[in-house]
Amino acid sequence: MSADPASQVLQTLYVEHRGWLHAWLRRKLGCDHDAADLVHDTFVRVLHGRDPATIREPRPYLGTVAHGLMVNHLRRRDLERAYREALQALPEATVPSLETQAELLETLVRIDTMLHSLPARVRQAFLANQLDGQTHAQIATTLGVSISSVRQYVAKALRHCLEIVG
Amino acid sequence: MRAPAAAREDVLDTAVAWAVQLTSGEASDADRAACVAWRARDPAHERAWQRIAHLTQTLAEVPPALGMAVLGRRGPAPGRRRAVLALGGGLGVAALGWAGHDSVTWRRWTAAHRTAVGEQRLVQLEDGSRLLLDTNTAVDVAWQANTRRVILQGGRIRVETAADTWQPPRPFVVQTGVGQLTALGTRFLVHDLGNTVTIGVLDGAVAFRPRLSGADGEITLQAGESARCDAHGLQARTPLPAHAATWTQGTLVADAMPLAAFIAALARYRQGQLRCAPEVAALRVSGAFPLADTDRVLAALAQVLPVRIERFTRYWTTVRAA
Repeated sequence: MSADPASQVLQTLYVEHRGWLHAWLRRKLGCDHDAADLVHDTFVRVLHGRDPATIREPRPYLGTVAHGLMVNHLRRRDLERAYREALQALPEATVPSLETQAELLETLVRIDTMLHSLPARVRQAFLANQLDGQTHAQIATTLGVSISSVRQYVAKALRHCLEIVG
Repeated sequence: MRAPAAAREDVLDTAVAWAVQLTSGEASDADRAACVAWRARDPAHERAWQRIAHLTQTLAEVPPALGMAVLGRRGPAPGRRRAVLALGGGLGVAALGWAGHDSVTWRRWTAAHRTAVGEQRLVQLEDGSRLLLDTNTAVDVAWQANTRRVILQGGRIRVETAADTWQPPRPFVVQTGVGQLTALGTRFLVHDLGNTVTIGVLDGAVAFRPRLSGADGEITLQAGESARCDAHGLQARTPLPAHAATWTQGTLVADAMPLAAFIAALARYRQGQLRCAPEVAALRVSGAFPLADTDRVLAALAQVLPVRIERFTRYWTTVRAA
């Protein structure tokens, strides 16, 4: 075990807080195994973040970090569920290999990460236009908005993605 | 005077506005031409445009109906199932295909002459010169008072120049992202690969001036020569391969070609994704294959090589070990 101050502080934090953090996450996620993983990820995130000695209020801070990781985890779980359902809806003969399924899943996760924080209508307009090739006029009709609104949605989503991707 | 960061934001906003317009479903040829002009006016414009192109490339990897169902889902909603949003459409077999439009590369949207994936087309220019456009190729024809200019936005062309009827005769120039070719003779091939360009001279000669080196980096290629060049200059000069122009006859000829390279060449003629798994990448392919029917080519490969063709819808295909 390392004796440097930062590790000591982290160790203390871990010992003092992992209990309630694990219980809290297990309640939210409904799964002991996932909760344990996220507790671990939380402390890894803290380790790579600010100097642990500067944390004045450990409970809210750890809770915030854990909550963020939990939201991402739940979103990914939900995407995987939707993906599995979509694959199950395919005729047996067209189901791809596990390798292809895995590659496509990662692409979907990447795109989902870019789009998830957008308002639902903005995201839908963007996907319908850019992924599904629908025209602004078609999307306006389906969503029940003006064509100029559709333009704004697509532009906003594009701009948002560019900011995330860099 | 604007701070640089603010100026960059404006350029990005403009690029986004152009991208939105060109994919609205109501873009005109004038719109496309104006966008081309805007991109050409400033390298910063082109850079902004390419950032968007890179983004949409990721989207293009996803089969639309499946993507809509997964990415357009509602949730996460703990303890409750939600229906797939109406906008996504159904998941019937018919729905799981590629949308009708060509969304793969952005510059394709803006050119005066465009071929779809798998399409080849002959374009006759007003001076009698001819361009044969290969699959998924886009060119602009920008005739000027002192230059007969063709801008290759992407893809591959065979050029046959005719003598100019003007006096004095104007040079015939092909402009690419990495440099400019001047025709000194009659027939040559240009393949735009993004960061490099491959030139093959069939008849006559061609002078290539790289964009970043100017006159110092200029090279001349004679008939029977081929070169790969980037924006700085020559990367490699070789004799013109025997089969360099068979694509103009609709055929892909391979002579102990690595499967990975063969699949990459074939993929250009095919909608969607065609990939080669690493374990079979080094197998060798020989023969002549019709580019018009890539499914038949893949079936033929599975007959002669220890590979199988894995398909996930018509538009997501991988060649794997059998």
